[in-house]
Amino acid sequence: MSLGEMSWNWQLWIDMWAAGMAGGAYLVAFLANKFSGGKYTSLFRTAVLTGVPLAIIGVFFLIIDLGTPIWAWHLFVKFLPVSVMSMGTWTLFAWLIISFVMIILWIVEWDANRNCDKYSAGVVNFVKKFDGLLAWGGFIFAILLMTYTGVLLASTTQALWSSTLLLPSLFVSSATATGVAILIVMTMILNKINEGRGSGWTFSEDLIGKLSKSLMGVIIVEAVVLIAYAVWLALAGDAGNEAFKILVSGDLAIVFWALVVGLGMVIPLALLFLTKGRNALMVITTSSACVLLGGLALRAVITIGGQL
Amino acid sequence: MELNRRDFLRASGAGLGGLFLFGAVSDDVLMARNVKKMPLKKQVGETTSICPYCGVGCSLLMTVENGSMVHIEGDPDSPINEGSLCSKGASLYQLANNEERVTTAMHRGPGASGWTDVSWDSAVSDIAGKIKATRDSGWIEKNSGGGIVNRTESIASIGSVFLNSEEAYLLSKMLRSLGLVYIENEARICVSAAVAADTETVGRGPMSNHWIDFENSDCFIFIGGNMAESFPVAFKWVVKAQEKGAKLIHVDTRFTRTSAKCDHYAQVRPGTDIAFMGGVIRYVIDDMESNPDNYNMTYVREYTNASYLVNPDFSGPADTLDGLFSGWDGSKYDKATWAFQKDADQADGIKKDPTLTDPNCVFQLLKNHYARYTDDKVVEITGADRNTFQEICQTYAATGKAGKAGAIVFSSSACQHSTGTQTVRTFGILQLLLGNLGVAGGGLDGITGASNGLGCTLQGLVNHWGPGAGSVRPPSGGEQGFDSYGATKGRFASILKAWWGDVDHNTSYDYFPKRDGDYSWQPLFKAIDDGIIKGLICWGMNPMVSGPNSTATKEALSKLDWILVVDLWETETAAFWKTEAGSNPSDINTDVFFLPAAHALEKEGSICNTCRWNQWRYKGSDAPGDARSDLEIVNDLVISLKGLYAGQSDKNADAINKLTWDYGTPPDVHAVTKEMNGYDLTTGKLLSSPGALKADGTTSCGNWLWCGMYTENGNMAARRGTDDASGIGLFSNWGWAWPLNRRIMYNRASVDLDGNPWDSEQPVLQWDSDSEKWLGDVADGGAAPINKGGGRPFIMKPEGRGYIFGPGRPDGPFPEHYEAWESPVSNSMSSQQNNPAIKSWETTAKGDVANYPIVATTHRMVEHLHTGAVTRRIPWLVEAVPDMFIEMSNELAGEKGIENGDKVVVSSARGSIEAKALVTTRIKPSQPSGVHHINMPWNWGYMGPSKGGSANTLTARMGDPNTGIPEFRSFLCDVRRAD
Amino acid sequence: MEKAILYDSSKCTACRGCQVACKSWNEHEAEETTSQGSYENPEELSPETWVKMRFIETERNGKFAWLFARRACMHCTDASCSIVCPTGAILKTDEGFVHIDQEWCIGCGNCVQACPFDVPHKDHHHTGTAMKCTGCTSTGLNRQDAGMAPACVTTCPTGALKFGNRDELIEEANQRVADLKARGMSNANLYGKDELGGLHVMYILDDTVEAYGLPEDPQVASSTVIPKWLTGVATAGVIAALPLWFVFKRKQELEARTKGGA
Ligand SMILES: Nc1nc2c(c(=O)[nH]1)N[C@H]1C(S)=C(S)[C@@H](COP(=O)(O)OP(=O)(O)OC[C@H]3O[C@@H](n4cnc5c(=O)[nH]c(N)nc54)[C@H](O)[C@@H]3O)O[C@H]1N2
Ligand SMILES: Nc1nc2c(c(=O)[nH]1)N[C@H]1C(S)=C(S)[C@@H](COP(=O)(O)OP(=O)(O)OC[C@H]3O[C@@H](n4cnc5c(=O)[nH]c(N)nc54)[C@H](O)[C@@H]3O)O[C@H]1N2
Ligand code: SF4
Ligand code: SF4
Ligand code: SF4
Ligand code: SF4
Ligand code: SF4
Ligand SMILES: [Mo]
Repeated sequence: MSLGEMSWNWQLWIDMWAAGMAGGAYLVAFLANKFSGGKYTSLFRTAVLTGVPLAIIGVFFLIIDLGTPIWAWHLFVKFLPVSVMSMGTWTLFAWLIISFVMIILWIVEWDANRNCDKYSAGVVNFVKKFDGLLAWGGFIFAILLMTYTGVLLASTTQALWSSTLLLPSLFVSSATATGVAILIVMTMILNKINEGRGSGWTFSEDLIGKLSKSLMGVIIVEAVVLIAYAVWLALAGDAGNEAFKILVSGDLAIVFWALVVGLGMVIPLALLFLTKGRNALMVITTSSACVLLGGLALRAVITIGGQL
Repeated sequence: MELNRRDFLRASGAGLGGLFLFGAVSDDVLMARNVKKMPLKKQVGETTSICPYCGVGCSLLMTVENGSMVHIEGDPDSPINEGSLCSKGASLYQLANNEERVTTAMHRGPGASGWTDVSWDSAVSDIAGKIKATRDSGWIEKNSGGGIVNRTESIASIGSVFLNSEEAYLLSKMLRSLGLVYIENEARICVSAAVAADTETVGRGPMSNHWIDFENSDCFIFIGGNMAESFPVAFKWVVKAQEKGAKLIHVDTRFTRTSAKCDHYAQVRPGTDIAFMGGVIRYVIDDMESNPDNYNMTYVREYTNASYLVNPDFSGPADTLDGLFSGWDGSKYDKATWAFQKDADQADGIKKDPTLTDPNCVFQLLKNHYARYTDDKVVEITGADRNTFQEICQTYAATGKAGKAGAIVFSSSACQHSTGTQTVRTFGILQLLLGNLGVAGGGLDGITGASNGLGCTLQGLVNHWGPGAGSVRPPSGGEQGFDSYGATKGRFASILKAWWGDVDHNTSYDYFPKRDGDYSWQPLFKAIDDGIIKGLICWGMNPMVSGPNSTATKEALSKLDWILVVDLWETETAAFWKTEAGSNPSDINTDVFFLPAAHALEKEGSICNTCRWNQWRYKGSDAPGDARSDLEIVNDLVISLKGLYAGQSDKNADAINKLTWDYGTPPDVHAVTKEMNGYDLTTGKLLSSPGALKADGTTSCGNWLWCGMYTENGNMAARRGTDDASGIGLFSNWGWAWPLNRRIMYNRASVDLDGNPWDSEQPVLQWDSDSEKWLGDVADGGAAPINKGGGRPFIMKPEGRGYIFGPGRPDGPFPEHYEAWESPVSNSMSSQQNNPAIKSWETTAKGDVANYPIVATTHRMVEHLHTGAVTRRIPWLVEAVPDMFIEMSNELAGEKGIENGDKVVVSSARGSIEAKALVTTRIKPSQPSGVHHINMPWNWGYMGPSKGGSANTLTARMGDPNTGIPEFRSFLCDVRRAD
Repeated sequence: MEKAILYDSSKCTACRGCQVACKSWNEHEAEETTSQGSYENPEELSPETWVKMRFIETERNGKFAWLFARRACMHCTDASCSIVCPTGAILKTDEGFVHIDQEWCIGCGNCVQACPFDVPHKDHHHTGTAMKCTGCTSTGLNRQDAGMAPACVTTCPTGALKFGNRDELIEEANQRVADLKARGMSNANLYGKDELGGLHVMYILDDTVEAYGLPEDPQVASSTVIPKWLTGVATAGVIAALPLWFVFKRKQELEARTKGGA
């Protein structure tokens, strides 16, 4: 089947990549914040503020790729648990609602700090507690958001996608990797913007160091999952083996090895490893950028490969 | 059909255990949508007509809204097709709605490079003028012997087999009243060989049984036929027979969609069917002699001429004459030695040996003749697989038992050889030996291919037939005066009264043009080439693509003064002068007239399918623009001609002035059908049977075969009775089968000498001694059973017996294998390479094996009709079969370095064309000879949306000696990649 | 009352009446095609071509055989297309026929990817919606509703296509399979009785399912969707637990301890 005839094209790569990244950033920032006893709330807020536009961009591309975009609202007339895409759409919707509400709460909190008597103590207290609750809600939906794209492709008849159970985990690991990468990039950008202006929105080198270490860790997990995925695929009957060959030695082999594996994993891992300890910001940023590109390449290779 | 929510939920939920069991979500939320209940936007129609394509005669329902066709599908009430239509029939909507249709009369002047649209009336008067001028200038009142002939040889007419019977009848009436003798249609180049062969063997040409009767058959041989593709819906009845245990055999040059359903398939080299069938006949004779109880010896003895004794001086290829029969004088046979021995004591005066053992009896001569067709010989010549051949012999011989029935189904593919007639003769001989004629489930079947092949041809659209075929053949130059007319006077007189009602038939006898010589298809085109014929009327035919050697056809057409094409589209024939045809318009001075016709679903009238069933067609949609029915076009032309001839008395002008022509304007088709049926002129009443026809001018009848179709009881062809009293699928109340609504011909051969059926389960006839009448089908020849003094079953043969020994043929009383005119091998049966009486009109040299080593043959596709003039303009059919292609074996493709799907060039001594290669395992090189052959469809031409090379660019103007039918099915070619 | 179409490959002569009759009744255009070295055209199903015939050249017990296979929607009971459809645009009639609602489908293409028989196709050029055989239940062209058999069944010359009560057809089919076996076609079988919860287009095959290029044991596309969700979520857990926990939580404790202990 030639590219033109595929029913899932580049718009879907971008949607899966962006939504995955948004979910990944949320997950990483949320856990970083939780594991460090609330030290990195600004990181968490950055993750949400980055994730929301990314998710919206993802949905936008998905909608314009629909056969009848003006009827996209039909997705929200029914809640169909049996349809992965329906589940995915509602998950995305829920995650966005939660994020918006949190952002509004943060604005209220920010406003309260500026003129402390504007809100009663009860309100402020309620905002803090509700914010914490929403964060957990957002966390659960973030995980579903990262997973749904993998499950969507996996519940079809295309061998590359459905012959193993690991596509969701491959997409989740890729989402997390791109999540960390985007966080690093955002922290760099914010630090640069707020350098002289002394507003609270900057990030310590220590945090960036931890993020880069996390990135190394997640890339390793992603590599492990990819290897497991490839092996399982190769052993999953003729169809699976056929799909494996397309990926590894077929038409998409160059893109797979160069961009997905090389650019997306090996180079960033090597860069980070070589510069361990010394927080070489430039190296960290480039490796993050590589991870981002690699993540997009992975979505493209998998989507095309499944339909060849 | 309310959406079933339970169903939906149960199915989707159960499928995967409902991941997130949000039970709280109610149905309504999930089921916001229902399948909208809306009435049908188009209804299935009520108006019925008959499909215009092949001879099965499928009835269809048309939905028409204010003159335009909305929908067409099969008519469930028809016992023939029961609502089915094949791909062509199912695509008829696109025939009814097609912007390729020509909608105005057109004219192209000499040398002009394009058409000019002209008004209808001016076109008609110009054409009438041209006809009159050419007729009168070339008028022949007397022949060389001084006899009155009143004919013109300067105008010829070809076509059609697609008009309604009434239209063909009026066309024949017009052409004969003008004095034309060069009158031919597709039948000549289609199945004329079968007509000649079957007339020799059983006395009549067309199919003997009918489609629904196939369900009664125990075994079929498809040979020189591809029934699943050429009579696709009728194959329904073969499948029903197969379901009841019938065995199917296909003998073909490639594995086809028919072979896919068969129990036995034998591949043969093109042009070797006589060798194959000769072997089967030999097997049957040997088996008959060793186990006569397996065969119906009474049938063979009493109903065939197997017992006749032949002149002892007779000898043939099996004796000393190396491929020839006795009496060959170098150019033709002196048949003295073929005569039967006389015996005054015999009622029919012929000496016989009922024991069939006398060496001079037909049976022994037959045995002696085919003894040479051993298994080895058959395999060597045909390349067929030995075991398969033996299986086929055993399987088909089993139908020889009384009560068993086998059918041989074939069509033009068996006929279009230089040995075509003798090929079909082998089928007739085998069926007579096995007692398979006249019985239910037996017969010589298929044959006529086009939707109204019989209905048109039998109106006299072939030069040697009048309206009613051979028994009313046009008089010859020697038959001066009605009394000297040699054929059936009563029927011919009735024609004369139908055509010239106010004139005494003895006078009008001379109005009818008399023939001296052969005016058939190939001589016709030679006469055009020789400048004898100046004007050609081409009515519903496309000879540029369907005639042999297209290049020669184009050269001939270019020599015409004028040509009139009456068709639905700008066909290859209408545009032979255009650059698309490879012509230079300025070099071609032919005046070309084009009159657009209505097609079958746009007019009313009757049509006669392959098995002689006449069915009535009602008008569906309106014809586009100025196009009108052929009935109206003939009517307009005759009225215009009468205007021109008014007052003229010389050159047989009376034949036109006094021509009875009062059908009204627009002409009433019922009036024409009634004229064909005939009147008792003394009472003015419609006749009810041809028996009433008189030679004294007191009856009129346009066509005796149609007498009884439109009687005082009404239009029999329009009957739609679906009851079948016979129990064997005769459906005698559906439509009307000529003659006399008889459904199975020679049916008195289905009973023994006392009138009791051989097969009590499927009796066609049963003699009721109480009422002294036959029960069941209309008896073929009403006489009582033979033991009660009645005649024998084959009433059209002199002694009422089927002719195994057929002395009437110019190329031998028994079929003998000869190689095709162009063949890669020498004849291993004798040193006589070709049919000694072969006829040739080919001017280019024969292709030699060195340059053209590959045998080629042609075939049809179920999705296309003939030259594709119609079907290449139907998008749904072009989608299914878009390009010209050839089918070739993997082995040949390997040798030539051709891959599947490559473009190739196919060339013969006469020209070359491009095509796609379809490399397939369904064709294998012949073993042991190793000869390669290819098969190709011939449906493409240079006009229309889907263009392609015409296979007939490659074929030769060679002909079978009996009818001149071209050798379309075996010639030499070469194939190479087109890079 | 469940209905079905029964296709009998042993009676089909590939006359392609069905392919044309479907286009005539459902008012579909012809596609641009070229000969690809076989009788098969168009090459694939499409929004305009809802049924086509496949021509398979093969050998069968030493003899040449030419198999003809109908290719169209099988109207599955467990219809992957309707299961994965995010808008519920794929509905099922009481008789069991699956129908894409052209006024609700958003053309997301999920059904195209999920069908075990590759049947639905998206109409990229005109409506954008997914299309496939509706069993002649399309809105305004609903033959079944009007008590008529589908157009392809009506036109079929040889009885290769039948339409009627599903159970009766199963009975008839089993009898036919027995007849075919008696005629020496040992591989004859009935396909579609049980597959995917039972298909509403069943095939009598005179050769193996594999020879006819049909999936041996087709699965609903989302039959393993739960474990797939779980592996995804588990990976998120693994990532959370290992690298992130290791980097943030443990490092946090180490720092606390060294600060405390130092
Ligand atoms: N779809 C369709 N149906 C038609 C027509 C049409 O144009 N299209 N035309 C109608 C008409 S007018 C006619 S006359 C009939 C013709 O009907 P048929 O003669 O049955 O059809 P063909 O395809 O011309 O030839 C039948 C088979 O003969 C094979 N063949 C070729 N040469 C030889 C040979 O030398 N020996 C043997 N044994 N077989 C050979 C071909 O491979 C082909 O499969 O069809 C009628 N029906
Ligand atoms: N090589 C090769 N050549 C062959 C054959 C073969 O097998 N091989 N087969 C031969 C046989 S069997 C036959 S029958 C011939 C067929 O040869 P043709 O009859 O020349 O072929 P068609 O394409 O059917 O041409 C019929 C024409 O009549 C027109 N027509 C249709 N309906 C009507 C109508 O109602 N009125 C008018 N006025 N015109 C109408 C159509 O548009 C078409 O142009 O071909 C013969 N030629
Ligand atoms: S082409 Fe022949 S078989 Fe097909 S629908 Fe027409 S009449 Fe019937
Ligand atoms: S209409 Fe019937 S016989 Fe013809 S191709 Fe379709 S299923 Fe086969
Ligand atoms: S065959 Fe495919 S499109 Fe048809 S019902 Fe089954 S899953 Fe849906
Ligand atoms: S393309 Fe239409 S029918 Fe198919 S899954 Fe998407 S919304 Fe449903
Ligand atoms: S059931 Fe109707 S829509 Fe489906 S293939 Fe047959 S004719 Fe076409
Ligand atoms: Mo013909």
